[in-house]
Amino acid sequence: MDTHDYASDSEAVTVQNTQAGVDSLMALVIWVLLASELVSAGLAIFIVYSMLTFFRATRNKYLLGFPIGFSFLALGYLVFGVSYAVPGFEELASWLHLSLVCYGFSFIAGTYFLKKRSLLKSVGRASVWLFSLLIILAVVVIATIVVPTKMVVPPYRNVDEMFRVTNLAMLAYIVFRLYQAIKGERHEVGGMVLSGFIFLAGNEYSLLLWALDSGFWSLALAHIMQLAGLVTLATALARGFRKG
Amino acid sequence: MAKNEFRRIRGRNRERIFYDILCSIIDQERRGFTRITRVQNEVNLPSDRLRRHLREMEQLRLVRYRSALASTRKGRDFASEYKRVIGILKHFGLGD
Repeated sequence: MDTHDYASDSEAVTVQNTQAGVDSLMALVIWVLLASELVSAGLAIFIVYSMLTFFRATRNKYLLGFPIGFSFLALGYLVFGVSYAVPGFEELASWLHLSLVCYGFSFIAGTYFLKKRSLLKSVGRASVWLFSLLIILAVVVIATIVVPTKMVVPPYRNVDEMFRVTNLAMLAYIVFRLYQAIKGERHEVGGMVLSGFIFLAGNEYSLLLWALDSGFWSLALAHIMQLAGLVTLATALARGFRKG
Repeated sequence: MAKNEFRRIRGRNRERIFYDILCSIIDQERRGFTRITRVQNEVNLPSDRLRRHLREMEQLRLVRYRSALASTRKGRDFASEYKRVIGILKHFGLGD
């Protein structure tokens, strides 16, 4: 055995060690991303539960859009989280995530739209029609993605930016309506709710950047913004409950 | 709650009407005496509808509606819970 063999052996060991290091780092990142999505789903479910309590107390039909919307968001986060842990599930999971999150924000924006209309007239029938239509559309889209049909679903990367821009537009509408509603009052909880939705808009913007550049930091920032937004909204609800 | 606020809200649902009625009763109880006509004026409901709601509220044990009109403990709890919920909804830009 000569010195050349020794050198190539040590190089091979170094490459193996580096590869093992990269693999363990990747595994850690995947677990962190999975945990972040699971925590987000949990927070969204807490918001759903709280909003259902409000609906039970007031029985305003348009308020149903809020828990339905956050249920869609929770499912979207859950599906996206599972896609990190289950390889080969990326395409389907990403499509489901895009459509579920988009429907989630549609329902929440619908709630604010119907709230505005409710000041002018009764919106009981309008809210039933709007939410039923959204649910039917959601079921059709999800069935088209999940159930194999003759219709070819394009790769999610082709439509990713479009969905993100739509979500951003809906979040901009929510933030605008919320700002209009609370601008007269200086209250801590109202400000927290506004910042919660601004963080969620930041999350969508970071995901739009991620769709364009596929950079790690865009994805990391998106996760931080998503968690910050949901934690802020959940805290606002908890504080509201406590203060009364 | 201010008197004008009862009139401002359009298309009130049953729960909101119960809340408005209870607020009016509790407010009058604080001043000493509850009159059904004053409740009717404050809540802005025709007499027959108010009496129908009061009968329903009595079945739910939210008010006592026999010889005199009075709120019950359950009614006061409902009013304070409803007030808390509409307070939170207001911060979410969804209040009345």
